[in-house]
Amino acid sequence: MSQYALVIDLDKCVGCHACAVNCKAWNTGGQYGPLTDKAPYGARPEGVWFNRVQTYEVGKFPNTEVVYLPKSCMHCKDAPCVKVCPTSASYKRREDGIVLINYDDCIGCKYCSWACPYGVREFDTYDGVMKKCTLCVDRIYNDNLPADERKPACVLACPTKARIFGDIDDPSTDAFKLIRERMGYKLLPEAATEPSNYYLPKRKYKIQLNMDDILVRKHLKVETEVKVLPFTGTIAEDIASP
Amino acid sequence: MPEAKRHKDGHMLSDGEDIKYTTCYMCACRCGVKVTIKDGNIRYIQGNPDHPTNQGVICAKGSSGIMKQFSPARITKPLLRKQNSERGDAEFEEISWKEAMDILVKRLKKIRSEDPKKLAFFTGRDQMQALTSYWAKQFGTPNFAAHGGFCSVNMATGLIYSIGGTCWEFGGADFDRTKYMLLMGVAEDHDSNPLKLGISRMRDRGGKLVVVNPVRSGYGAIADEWVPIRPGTDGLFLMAIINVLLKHGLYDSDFLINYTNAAYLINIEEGNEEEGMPYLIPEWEMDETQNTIWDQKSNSVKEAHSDGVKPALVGTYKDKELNKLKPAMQLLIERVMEEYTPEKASVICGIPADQIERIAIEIGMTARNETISLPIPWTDAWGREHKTTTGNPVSIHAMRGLAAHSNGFQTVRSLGVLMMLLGIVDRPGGFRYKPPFPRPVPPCPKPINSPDQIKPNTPLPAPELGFPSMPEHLMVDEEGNPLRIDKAFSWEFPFTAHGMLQNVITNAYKGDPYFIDTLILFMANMSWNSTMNTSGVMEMLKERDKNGLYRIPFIVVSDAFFSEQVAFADLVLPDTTYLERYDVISLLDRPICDYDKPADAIRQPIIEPKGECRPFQQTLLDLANALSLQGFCGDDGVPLYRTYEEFITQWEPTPGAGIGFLSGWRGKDGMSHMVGEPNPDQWEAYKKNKSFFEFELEDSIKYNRTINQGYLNWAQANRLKRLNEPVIMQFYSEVMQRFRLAAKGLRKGRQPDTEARRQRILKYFDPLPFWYEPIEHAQTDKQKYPLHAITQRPMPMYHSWDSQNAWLRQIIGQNFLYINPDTAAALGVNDLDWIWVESKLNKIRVQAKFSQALQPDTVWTWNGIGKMAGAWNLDPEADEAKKAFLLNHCITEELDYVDGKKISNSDPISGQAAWFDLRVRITKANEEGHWPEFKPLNPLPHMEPRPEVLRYGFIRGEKS
Amino acid sequence: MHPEMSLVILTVFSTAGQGIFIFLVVMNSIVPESLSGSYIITAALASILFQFIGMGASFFHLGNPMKGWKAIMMWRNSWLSREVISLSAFVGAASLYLIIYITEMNKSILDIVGYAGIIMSIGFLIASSMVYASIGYIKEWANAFTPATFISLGLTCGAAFALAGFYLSCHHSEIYPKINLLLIAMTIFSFILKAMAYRFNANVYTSLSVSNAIGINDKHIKLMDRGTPYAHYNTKEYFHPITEDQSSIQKNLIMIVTFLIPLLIWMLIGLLLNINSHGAAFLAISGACVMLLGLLMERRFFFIQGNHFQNLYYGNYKKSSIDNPLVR
Repeated sequence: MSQYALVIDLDKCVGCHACAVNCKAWNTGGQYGPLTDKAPYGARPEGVWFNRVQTYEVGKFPNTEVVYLPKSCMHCKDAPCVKVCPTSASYKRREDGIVLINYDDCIGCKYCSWACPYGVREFDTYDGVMKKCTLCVDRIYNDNLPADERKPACVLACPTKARIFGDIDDPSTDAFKLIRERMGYKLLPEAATEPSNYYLPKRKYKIQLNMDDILVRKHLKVETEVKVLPFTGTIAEDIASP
Repeated sequence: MPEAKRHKDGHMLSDGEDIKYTTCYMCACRCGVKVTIKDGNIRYIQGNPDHPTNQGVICAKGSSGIMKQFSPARITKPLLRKQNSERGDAEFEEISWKEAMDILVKRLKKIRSEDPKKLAFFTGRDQMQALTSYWAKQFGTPNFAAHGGFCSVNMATGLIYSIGGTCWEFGGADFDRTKYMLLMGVAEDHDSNPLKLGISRMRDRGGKLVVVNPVRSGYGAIADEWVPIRPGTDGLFLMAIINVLLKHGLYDSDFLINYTNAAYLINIEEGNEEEGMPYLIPEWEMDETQNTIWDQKSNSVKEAHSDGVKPALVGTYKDKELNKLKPAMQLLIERVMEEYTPEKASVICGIPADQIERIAIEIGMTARNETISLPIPWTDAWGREHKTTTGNPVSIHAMRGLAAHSNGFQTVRSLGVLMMLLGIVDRPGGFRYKPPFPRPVPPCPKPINSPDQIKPNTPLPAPELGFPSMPEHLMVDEEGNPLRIDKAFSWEFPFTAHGMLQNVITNAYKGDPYFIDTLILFMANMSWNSTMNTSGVMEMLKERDKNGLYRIPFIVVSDAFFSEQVAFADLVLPDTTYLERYDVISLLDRPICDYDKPADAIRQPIIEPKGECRPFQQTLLDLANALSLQGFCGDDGVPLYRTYEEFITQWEPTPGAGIGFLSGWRGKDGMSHMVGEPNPDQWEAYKKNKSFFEFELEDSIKYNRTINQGYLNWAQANRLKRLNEPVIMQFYSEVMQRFRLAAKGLRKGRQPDTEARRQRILKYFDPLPFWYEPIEHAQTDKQKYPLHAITQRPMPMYHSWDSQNAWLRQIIGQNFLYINPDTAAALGVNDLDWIWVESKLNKIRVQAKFSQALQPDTVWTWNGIGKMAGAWNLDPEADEAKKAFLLNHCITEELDYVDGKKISNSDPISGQAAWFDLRVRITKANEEGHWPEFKPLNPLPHMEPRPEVLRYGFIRGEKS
Repeated sequence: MHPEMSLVILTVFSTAGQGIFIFLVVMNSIVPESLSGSYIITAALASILFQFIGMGASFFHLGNPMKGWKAIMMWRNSWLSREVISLSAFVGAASLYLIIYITEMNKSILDIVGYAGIIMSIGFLIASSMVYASIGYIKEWANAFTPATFISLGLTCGAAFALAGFYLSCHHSEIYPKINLLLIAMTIFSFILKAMAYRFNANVYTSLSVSNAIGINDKHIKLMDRGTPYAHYNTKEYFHPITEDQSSIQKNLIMIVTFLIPLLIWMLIGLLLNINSHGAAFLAISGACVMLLGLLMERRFFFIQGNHFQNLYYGNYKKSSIDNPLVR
């Protein structure tokens, strides 16, 4: 069984919102769109977004970390939204694990969103149906697209390549390997939905300093006199020092 | 499926679908984009995977380009301010293009025939400065510049006057090899996507990323270490790092000796015109004057870079005439060792001394111990062959956090000197130039330098902008007074390579140095976020003289959208969006090159222009033709080019030069690259190649390009450089010493004529970098205004200046003033309280938000979120108008000078606007309301109404 | 959770209406002689009317009401689907009951249909309350008190209307005081149940915080930006801004209006008044209406109290160390 999902590298996410906006651009014109914007130039614009990037501050100055958290449908393996849907409009595909909504069957009761612990389903009041991330199912199987563009729009767009798309159950994929190598984790495992999207934690590179090593002049040469700097230098025989 | 329907990039086109490649213009990054068109409308914009700049990725702005076409703020007709209406009221009558051009041509003809400098032409984030500056030059006015002076010119000049290249998008880190990167004063900045792509690769390889910034955000979020520095003290931090490197001997002597003038002997005998100048072997001993070094083998003065010598970097020497000589390095050591210790820096920078020391040692040891050697042979400018190309894997990228201070030039100079000490310029793992850099230090073009060169009906004999290398290059008259309206290239601001946009309106309003007649603005929102003292500037635009005439008589604005600036225009020319026109991103201007690849690009129209919108490029050409400007017209005054497209492919700087705006597919057959005859089919060739051209350099000429003879020859042959001479980096700035000698009265030629100018040059024109307190700080009561206030541009809006994008505004609609909770507690301010932010100039009412990711003596906010009510056709009650704010209202554009006179709040060397020098105090706001409050703008009658709902595309059922 | 009126009306009116019906059927099978024909018709009609009020309101909740019928598809999985089915079945049974009674068919068929209706009703009461109780991410809902209070309050309110109907139909019987006593007992029981539910909810404990939500272990985590600052579905649907003070005022008010005032009224009727008077009938109707009003308040507050896990992400989770940013 395959399970397509996103692996999001928090060690690379700089919070630029490219994923969120490119998602909107693709999907507004796509099969699972549009992502309606109400009052787009009004006092309270309210649009549908499949992906939002939230900002958190962690810790206290000066040991503060800033975390950008892009969040979209987790395509849970045990998707509660699917189970509660009264019309079977919400469904999980057997072949790739993508959770989708059939807009023709959706009655807009919003019950699926209540059953979601992540807050990633978005109700489009204009269409009266629930919408959400489809992993760009209209891209990834789209034979009209060049092969290397058959990825979710957010993944194609991400300027820091912090988003990896793939089958998290297939050991040959980057997604699978990264989750294991980088100790990828799931959000809110307490909700017990077996989310498929994983997050890779930040890394910290440190340089181990061996102060004795400073004296080993491997490459950067230094004149022996530097130690007695600043005010005396190499003194040539025929001149007087100042 | 029929093969004919497959685009050559592999995209199968369905009915009514098409693919076009062009170049993004949602910010200054100039990424390649692939646009899918469906039934004549834009369906999707994505990154162009083959493009050197963005390699397929795209940011939030680029992704939302389609919203430009949906904006209800689009201006689609030429507009003339209604008689009897006031500027700023935005009451216009719609006129025809013919009427608009008649009005403008009549006015410009008169100016040109009387006094061309009465026209000031300033542009914003203009990506066609090669054209706009050429137009102004041919018109004959020196008053042209883009917005660089307001932006980050210190970063450009500080490094160009040191290493002949700079960060910006003109150079960057060798991300694939660097092992330690210092990112200083970079929030979201130049260059956007390449920096993100590079840092991403570096995270995977495992290099250490250190971010020096008062605020932790964006790149700071993924940094291994955050150095929360006080604003304006980066120079001190850098000098302290230099101190530690010198103390421990962690510097690259070979690099200093071969690539820079650090070993050059400097004459330190005082009181003559040689004082502080490099000691030269006179012409009569050599074929030409030569710089010298002290050879430790022979213990004698020898020609620099000669064979078999062992140059000294330290010491004091005497020549035969017993002149005291010191290597430049020795002078730096003397300056740095006592004055710039980490302990002293720590107090002012707010960074613990041991942290500074540790970072310095980490940098120094990484550079020294992790040397890279590539099996790439090359030959240097003195004929020495090198079997390998080596490098030290440390890189530094800096932008406006360093630049936007009045001490920015010298701060960036210290950055340049640090890069030289580490030996990390254009070598593997270090900083890499992007062509056409490196250029000479400083580059060749010099601005006009005499009032006699500004003549009626005559083009300027030299550019309006350039790189002075001696006082004679300044643009001043006999009395030493500035010739330009913005006072660029004056004694007060000598190295203003990008002009001083920030002072145009204030100076024109005051008539200092003179009154102008017409101000043309393109892409510059000078009455709102592209100015300091915004409320004051708005008043100046409205101010009339005693005859009831506006002090700035005529303002022409070309814009595609209803900006705050449009409201203050007398004549509005509706521009196209980037998706509706041809454009070039030229090697003559600000190209898209990669480190190893000279490159340029075009834009092509994806869809038809709306209404009567016309590309400003074409408008400029039409004006040039109507005015019979030389260069655009033959000697008989007959236009040479009808359209912009013709102009781009056929124009050459001089007839037969073989270069032009575009460097790919030149020659009659379209087979020549870089140099070749004009090719009328060049546009088509670009379109076929996804709208860009790139040329990869051979391996042997990719690195060490300042002294790589192969590269220098290639660059000369391909007209990137005039000469194939090596570029010696200015560790010690001989150019600056020339100005200082002039100020001391020791140098023949132009000298500053007033005491104030003399003192100013003496103080700031130090040939070695030093740190001084930002000028505004020195003039401010720091007890009264205890906090620094700075801005950053949010990534989804960085450099995106127009249309008030429906998607992006949903990401940020209100900016807060971020404040450290401890700082706030002392002021009695709670999270989300409304507060007053008060500077010496002005006060604004804003909402505070607590942040721990912030240096405690600093407050900050996102820039450019606040809009004037009604502008951009937003709901006047929108957060942008009611809750968001512009810090610009608080930033003064002028400081005290001498004798009660005012002077621009800018760097005294480069003229960079010092908007990060702002100091404020904060008090709780018990008052309600929005402050400052302006009368809301009414929508223009011809604009589309704001839609209630925005949706398009594949829509089900009856709603389609 | 956002207290959506359509759902408040749906749950209150449908359960109360079913209470009326249950009383009708039970009484009509045990003590048919005490009931007047007009009462039976009125009560059955009222019960059906209440269902239609509830169902009508629920249509305003749906984004695509015209497709609402599709909700019967997933009865195997979805409590919501079961709710829709059982509600429809109940309306069918109640209508049949009414038709059988009017057409004076066999009394035992009437009772069979009546009890079948009661089974539908019980199914509905369970399904309807399980719609809420099965949302494990709302601790205030996911407990036994949700079905218990839904059922108990619905039946009590139904009983109140039933009693009022008895009084109105003015058909003297010694059974009235017993029903009055039963009602008082039910009201007290519901009161205790609801008080316990509130007490339970006040002490609902989750150890979850934003730290679990974003997977970063730190005591100091502050939400700085929600990604899009304006209110949107996920900040509106799951969150209703209310202070602790407002919350306790509402709770007290609900207890008074839903239980104490009606209780006083029942006692007043039982102790002081001639049960067969117009005054008693008026009071009984007032009591039932007050209780219905209280129930609407109670249900609205039930939604307000629901605190969904996903609020952890948006800074809206009430029992979390997260700093609450701007509430729009």
